[in-house]
Amino acid sequence: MIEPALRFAGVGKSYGSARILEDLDLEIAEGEFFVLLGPSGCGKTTLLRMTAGLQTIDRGEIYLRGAPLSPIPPERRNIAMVFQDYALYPHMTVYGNMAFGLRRHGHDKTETDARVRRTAALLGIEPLLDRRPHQISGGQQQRVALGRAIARDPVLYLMDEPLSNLDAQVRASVRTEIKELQRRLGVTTLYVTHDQVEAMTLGDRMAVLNDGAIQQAGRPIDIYREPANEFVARFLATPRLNLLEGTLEHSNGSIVVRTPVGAFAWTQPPRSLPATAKVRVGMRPEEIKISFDVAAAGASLPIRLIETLGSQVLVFADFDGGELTVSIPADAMPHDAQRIAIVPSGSIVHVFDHAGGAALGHFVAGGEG
Amino acid sequence: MIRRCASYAVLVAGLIPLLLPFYWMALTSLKPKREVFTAVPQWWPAHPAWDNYRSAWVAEPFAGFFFNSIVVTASIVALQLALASLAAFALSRFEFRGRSLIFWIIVAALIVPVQITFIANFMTLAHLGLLNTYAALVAPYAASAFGTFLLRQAFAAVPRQLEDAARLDGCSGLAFLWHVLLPLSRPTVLAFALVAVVTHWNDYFWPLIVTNNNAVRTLPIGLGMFVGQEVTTDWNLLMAASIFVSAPMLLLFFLMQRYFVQSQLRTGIRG
Repeated sequence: MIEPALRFAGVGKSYGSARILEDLDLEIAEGEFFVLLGPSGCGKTTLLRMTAGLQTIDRGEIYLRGAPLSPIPPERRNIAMVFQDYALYPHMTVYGNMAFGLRRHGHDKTETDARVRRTAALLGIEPLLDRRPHQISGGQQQRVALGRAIARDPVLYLMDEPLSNLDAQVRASVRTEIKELQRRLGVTTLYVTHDQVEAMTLGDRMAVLNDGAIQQAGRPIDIYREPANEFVARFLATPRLNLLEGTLEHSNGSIVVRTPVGAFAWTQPPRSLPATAKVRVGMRPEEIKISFDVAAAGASLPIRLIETLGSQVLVFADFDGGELTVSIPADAMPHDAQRIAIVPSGSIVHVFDHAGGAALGHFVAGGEG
Repeated sequence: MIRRCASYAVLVAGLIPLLLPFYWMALTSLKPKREVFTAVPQWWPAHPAWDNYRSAWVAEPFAGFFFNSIVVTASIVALQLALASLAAFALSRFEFRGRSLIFWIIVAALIVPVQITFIANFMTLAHLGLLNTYAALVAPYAASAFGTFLLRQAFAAVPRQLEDAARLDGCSGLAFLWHVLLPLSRPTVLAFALVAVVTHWNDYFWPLIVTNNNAVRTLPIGLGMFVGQEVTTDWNLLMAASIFVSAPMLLLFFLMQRYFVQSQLRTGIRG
């Protein structure tokens, strides 16, 4: 078996009696771009800081290429970190910022100079080398912070929400840049964010964290398609997940999921499905099929509000007991629409346990049941 | 234009009472003795007596006093900076029991007038047999509550992420203090050092009570020697001596003034 680049074995952290991190296990392969996704306070930054050695591990151990990390002080772990606030030394030039760690790690002037210049060329920041951090833009500062990490040539990059202080446009371009750089350099990367778009676009694999525990780990697209529980489904929905009360009705081998907005036919339900009748039903705005031909449909919902995002339109419609959010392409939106009808066939439905929130199954609804 | 002239007029009006004593000092230092007290104030030295400076310099052992003042002031300021940085480093970046208590004791020490410590310090030095030494002049001022307080505030303003970044760069503990905290707090360090230099260069009372020997006496005491010999104070010589005693401080202010103007802490963090 190939030793993973980074392995968390029963890693836990507590502050007093509060458990910040449950004992968690995770393996990250060599060269992998791994994203930790979760809301603030879920413990993802703590996990990152423990890997860097900036915080102690209370339980378990972290292994870097098979070697336990806890006996090694942070500066000797051969790990580089990129911070949310860039954390550049304000009194040093860009060159000084990139050279400082190299010099402290015992590289001589010639070697340091060569590495700084090579990295600056890679990132296209050569013209900035003599500037100070406050003289360059936020995007450039974050590029320098990346450069500082790259110049160190570590075996692992840790990135703590490196994009969250950037403007939307700059963020998108630096995001692409990070992805390309990581591909090119092939260095294992552990990336922390609360932004699902970053997680989906950057991660080879990702783990969703909540309350100090891993909710689900895997490829982003798999997690998106088959969220393990209600929390993961809610976290990977924009702008929000529609959660409906539902009931399961068995009828000769297939199941009908009845909700306040319609009935969805589950043609191939898993055999292990519990006999419970009450469930919770999750549908993302983009997973609901609708029609504006309300005369043909049996039931329809009044439109309360329409938000135009450009290529997409968000339709907010009322139903008995709540509000439904649906996302459709802008060109599919008639001007004078007053009501929408839900089209069950083709809609994607996630069924969750009513009590615990664990996923019972995911399906594309068949024709009306 | 009129507004501009008006504001300059106000500034000049304010400047006159500030500069007048200095002018009078310089003026008197150049007057022959008989012109010092004239019935009608004389605003220009009719017969500049440059010789006053030479006479003042040799009237008392000023070369020795100069040397002593430099040694004492430099020692005090160096010790204050060293101790205050270390204490401020501990108080701002380390977690330990009693940290805030210690900090508040230091803040409380700022309220205590220095004169209250004179008798106790004098007795201690006398018992240790250290009167009439440099140690007597330096030791009581080696630690500065004010400096510790100022530097703690400056260090505490340096973001945590910068410390984390430095640790990963292989720069923790005292290296972090030296390479990151102190350079980032340079405006504060310089402002404090300047105040300390001026305070201890000009200090008169403490050196007066712990020394009675010209070998260790400092400049302000040398100045004091011109006064008080009955009514025969040589004002022109006293003023000449005052000029060369205060000249280093004036020079220091001119050299350092740009740091006052552009003293701001750039944190290097977005904002």
